[in-house]
Amino acid sequence: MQVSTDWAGMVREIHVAVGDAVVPQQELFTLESMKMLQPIVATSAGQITAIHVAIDDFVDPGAPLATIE
Amino acid sequence: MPVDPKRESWKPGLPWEQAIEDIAYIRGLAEEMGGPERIDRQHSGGRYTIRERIEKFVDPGSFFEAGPLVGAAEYDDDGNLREFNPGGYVMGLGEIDGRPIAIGGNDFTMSGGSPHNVRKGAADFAMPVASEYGIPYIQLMEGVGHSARSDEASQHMGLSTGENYWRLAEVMRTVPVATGIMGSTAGAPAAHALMTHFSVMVKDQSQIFPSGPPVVRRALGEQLTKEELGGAAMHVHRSGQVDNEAESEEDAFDQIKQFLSYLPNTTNEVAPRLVTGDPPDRRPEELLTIMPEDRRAGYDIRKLVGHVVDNGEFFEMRQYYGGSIMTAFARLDGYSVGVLASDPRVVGGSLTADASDKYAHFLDLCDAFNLPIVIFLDMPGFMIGSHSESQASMRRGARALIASAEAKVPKVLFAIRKAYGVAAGAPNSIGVPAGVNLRFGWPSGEWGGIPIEGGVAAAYGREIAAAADPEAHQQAIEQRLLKLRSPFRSAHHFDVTDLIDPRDTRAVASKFVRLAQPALARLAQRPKRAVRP
Repeated sequence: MQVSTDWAGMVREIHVAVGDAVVPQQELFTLESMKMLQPIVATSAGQITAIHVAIDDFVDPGAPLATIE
Repeated sequence: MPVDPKRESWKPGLPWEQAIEDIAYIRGLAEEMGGPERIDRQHSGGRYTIRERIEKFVDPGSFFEAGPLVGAAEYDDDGNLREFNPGGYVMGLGEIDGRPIAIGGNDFTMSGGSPHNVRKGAADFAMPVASEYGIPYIQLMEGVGHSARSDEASQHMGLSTGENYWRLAEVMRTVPVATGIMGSTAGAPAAHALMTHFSVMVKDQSQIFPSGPPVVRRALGEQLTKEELGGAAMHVHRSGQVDNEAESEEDAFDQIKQFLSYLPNTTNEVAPRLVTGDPPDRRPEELLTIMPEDRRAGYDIRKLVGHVVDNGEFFEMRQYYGGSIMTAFARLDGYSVGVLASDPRVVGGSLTADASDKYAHFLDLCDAFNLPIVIFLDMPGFMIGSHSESQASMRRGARALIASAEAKVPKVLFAIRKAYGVAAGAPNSIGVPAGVNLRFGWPSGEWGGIPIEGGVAAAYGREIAAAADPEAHQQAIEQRLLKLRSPFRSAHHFDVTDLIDPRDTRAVASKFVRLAQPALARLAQRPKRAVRP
């Protein structure tokens, strides 16, 4: 399960690490878009198996931020 | 439907009593619809029949059917009825809480190639009675449209004039139209379903498309289920083709009733005032603290709207599409209003291409039904970046600007935080230049042509580059300009009617909505066009 964003922006904070167990609605990333901070939350429960971005990376809509399995 | 083969039908010259019995007998045949097997199939799919839908929708006992005797009737040589297949559409008049409505819907137990060519549809009664008498029109759709079987029955393939859509455009011009998409809906019924002021589909039960999976597979080779192709995930959450989704058929009926409750019976009337019992001068304390200290943080716009409107009640349309703008109907001091509000939790409330379409459509809808507009504005500008450009954000934003310029209904705007650039010009321009520009600022308000962040770098670029320490120089300029962001500065220039204590928002909005009523009654007399969905 890929976690992605609906809108373009910059990754400002990463709240999880590979191996972490997450629950739905848990905040995984804070994205800055249009000078506003937006939480990116988990849509399913599972374990983080990969994080595909680093702080200050630009992300496009649909680009994978993390993988949950 | 099976007709008693020994039954003698009434014929001219026989007593009236027998004729009256025959009316009841044939009505009984019509109520059997497509027969027990087809009804069972409908029920085992978790769906009601059209007759059950209408009964559940209207006030108990209020359904008055039009054309119950319409159907393919076969008589023997002696004039006795031997076969009867009811027309595949059920319609009539009903009431919602005593308010008359016209209602109709496809009988899915009769569709899928009913062998006869009996004409029975909304155009025969429900649509014209709605527009002529000035009552809302409700359509409950589930149907597959044209069947190749009927071409075989009529031995020709017709070239459609498309004129049956004129009737629906006329109904949309004159009265509220609301649609429940109750199951799989394709072809002409799908087009009818979308020619509406409000549409709702049932989750995991309803799909809508010009053509379903078999036709798509034949034409494109794309293999999808009907749910993937045209379910709520596609059309409520992604395309925005359908306004709302419902959890059940009952929920869909309830949403249609809520929608209609905010609208007048015709585009030439003003919505009735209801007694809501919520004092217009109520001061919601929550509004003082709802705005976060951090200007980069979001807040719950639905809570904010709820604190302002009567009893915290509102009915939201298109929640899952163009989410940076919230569109809803609500009441203030009992009067119906349209609410347009920024949602800072979706791309910071910026105007996306989809949100522009949503804004323009909702404003047109409120203008057509003479509802005043209440706006809560927190918009950093157009959504920018390459993805947004690819969606024609500014051309579609121009639609929002044109809708704002053309709207004649009064507005009350609360500039609660950001209002930057051309995008914010849409709500800011409603009502000007002909009328008063009713705008009230909150102390958290900040606005301008361009935000200081970004704006300084663009306008002072050469000066910053030439400075010994460019970064420090840019910060110095930003600090200098920051003072200008105070909303008091523009209040001194009458940019807002006043800066207000947020707790006074409800009282101010209610005052002007009440004041607007005679003006709305005059505006109701304007000629109208069908609002395009």
